[in-house]
Amino acid sequence: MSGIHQFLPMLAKGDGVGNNARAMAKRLAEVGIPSRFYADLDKTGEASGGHFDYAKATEAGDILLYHVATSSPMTTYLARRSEPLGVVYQNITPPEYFATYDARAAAVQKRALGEVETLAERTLLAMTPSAYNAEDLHQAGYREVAEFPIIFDPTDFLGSSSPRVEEVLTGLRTKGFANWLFVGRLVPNKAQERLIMALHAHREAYGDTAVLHLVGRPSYPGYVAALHRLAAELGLADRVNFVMGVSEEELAAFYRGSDLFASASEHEGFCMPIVEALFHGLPVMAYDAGAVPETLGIGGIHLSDRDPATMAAWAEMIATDTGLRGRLRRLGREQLTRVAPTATIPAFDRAIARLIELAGSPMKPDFEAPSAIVGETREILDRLSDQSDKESA
Amino acid sequence: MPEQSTHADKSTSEEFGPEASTDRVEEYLESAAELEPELQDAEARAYMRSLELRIETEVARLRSEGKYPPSLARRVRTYYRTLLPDGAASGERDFDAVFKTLDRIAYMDVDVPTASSKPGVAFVKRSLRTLMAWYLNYLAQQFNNFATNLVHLLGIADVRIAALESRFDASAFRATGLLAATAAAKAQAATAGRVAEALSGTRGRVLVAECADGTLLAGLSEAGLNAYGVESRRELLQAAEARNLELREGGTLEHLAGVAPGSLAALVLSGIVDRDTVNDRVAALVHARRVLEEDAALVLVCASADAFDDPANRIEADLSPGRPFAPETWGFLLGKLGFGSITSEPSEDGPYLVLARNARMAPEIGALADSKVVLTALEPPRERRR
Repeated sequence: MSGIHQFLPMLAKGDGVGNNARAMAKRLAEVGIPSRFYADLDKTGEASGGHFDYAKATEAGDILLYHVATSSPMTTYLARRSEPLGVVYQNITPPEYFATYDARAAAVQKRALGEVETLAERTLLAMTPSAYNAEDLHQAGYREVAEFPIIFDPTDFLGSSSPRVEEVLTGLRTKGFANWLFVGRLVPNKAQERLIMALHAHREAYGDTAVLHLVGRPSYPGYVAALHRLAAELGLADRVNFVMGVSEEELAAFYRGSDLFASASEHEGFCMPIVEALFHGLPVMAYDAGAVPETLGIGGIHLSDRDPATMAAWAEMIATDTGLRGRLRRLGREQLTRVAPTATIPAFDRAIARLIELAGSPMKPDFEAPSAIVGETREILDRLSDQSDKESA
Repeated sequence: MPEQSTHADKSTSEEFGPEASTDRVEEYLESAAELEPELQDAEARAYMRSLELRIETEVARLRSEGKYPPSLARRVRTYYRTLLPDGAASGERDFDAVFKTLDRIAYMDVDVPTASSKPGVAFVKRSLRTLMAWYLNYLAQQFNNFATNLVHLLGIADVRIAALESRFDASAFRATGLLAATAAAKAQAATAGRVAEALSGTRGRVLVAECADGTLLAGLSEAGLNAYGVESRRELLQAAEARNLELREGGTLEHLAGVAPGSLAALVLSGIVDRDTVNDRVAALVHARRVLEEDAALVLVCASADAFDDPANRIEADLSPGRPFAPETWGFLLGKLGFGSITSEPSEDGPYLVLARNARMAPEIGALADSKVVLTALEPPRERRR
């Protein structure tokens, strides 16, 4: 039976592209469309093989969906195949961010940008989570672009929480420290050094009353070393907590136990951690770059620049003003109704219907079929709403 | 909701007649119901704006108490720069490393390993190697010839590009950054009153870049504007700090690159407009398009060409890569980049102002401002990409 099969260079849980693809597969299965993964690096055991393995299982009427994330031989492979093609684009970080630390990584990114253009001619429909990304695709020559926030399953990050991490964060709060959190790979475009500078400004202005948790995997040793040395030189070696690699439970605990999610990132195609923070009811302040204005919307504080003193003042106000935190939580919940699966699954259904139409495929999916992800999300949002009401009361 | 009744009245009485009124009102009520999220957005934005005002007051208090002066921020940033890897600007070391690796691996070895733990297999492998040696050697020779010449060609290209880079290294022209007394500083002092007048009533953040010793910036602050300045020269920054002004340390382009889109109500550019390269000036204008709100004011405080002939500015004139533009040139550039309401105000004593308004942002300009900005900004973006 023909289906819509997803190709991605790497399939992993906890990874933005991987979570997106898995949520899409879940929805495709619900509407009655078979969907297999083809990933050259599979960390989940869910893929049917690498991209060459698709040739063994191809069926007339298949539609292929490629998640462009980095440079991959999949591009050439898919460009030469004859099946109708859709592309999912979550953005590719410009190579200049990496050139300083790793010229090879920069060259790979540059090639990946070229590959995005390679597929433009052959792609029937591109899907992307922000207008910021859509502009890239239009510039690259894509004819039709469907724009809707990333599809995800909130239970991926709202599961059980690590009691040990929660205990540590609660302990810090008891001692008078506010817990600042950032989640994202330790890479130059995320600009974690700006958060360290803001923490320094905070200590100069308000005293030693905050701790910064940087949760994310390192990619470039030179960058991580620079962050460590900056923290040490500013006397913050034991106030900046580098958490390199966490389990789902530990990540959930960091979101639950923190007082503030702070981001100084310069380049984001969507910024999923902002959405995760909003789901956990965490106040968010983020530098307004890339797709952040769209993702954060009315749900948090938008920073027009990254002046350390200004960031410190915001953080202090959020940490000390209970009323403000409550209000930000309510606004965050409101923003979630626009980016959560309750809004995005119907948009994804429409995009799939359009892709099938453009492909001239006889597939007849049942879009009336209920979505498990939407059901779960609705329950979560109701719970968040109840919490907000209780806080207001 | 006064807009609703106005709309309904107009639709019914003027366009559709009384018989269509019920349908139109129904239709309108439906669309009005959909407006609800927009109203919530407006409410949320108003709330956020009230918070921003609180933060601005708080930051001003911190500055006035000397809690986190710009000089400290500058020291932190300068220190951080020293931690970046060598060759940060060009990735030179990375290129060398990759080049060496390529040189090492661009060679096909036909001496195939033949060892094996299985009995007899090593013998078979050795026999095959001997039998196929003539064929593999022939292929390997051709590949190795090609790879060697390719690596050699890359080496030549590297040497030639390095020579070009050293000849055109823009940092060699930055000597003017060391000068305190510049034509721009004089132009700011001479035009401070006119700039304050041009920007009177501006609501929102105003940036003055570069702000020199803060004379013009102080004038704007005294006029009640929410203004801050950027300056890279230490002695001038200290002079401006002494006036208790809100300041950032850094170069104009460096700072503008870090300002969020549409976040400034007005921008005053000075210095860069007189003496930097044409590319840098265009880059500043492209950034201005991105960081200014729609219809926000851009003010260029320009020295006259005569100022560079003045003996007092001889060093600056000699060391600068650029010369002051004529007002017509600014008008041409601003028009090409999509600014509107462009006017220039000459003065008798030399310096002049160019005023413009930011029109609606073209998406291509937004994309440009995020990437490396070059003179090609003046070309039609679509054609450039292809």
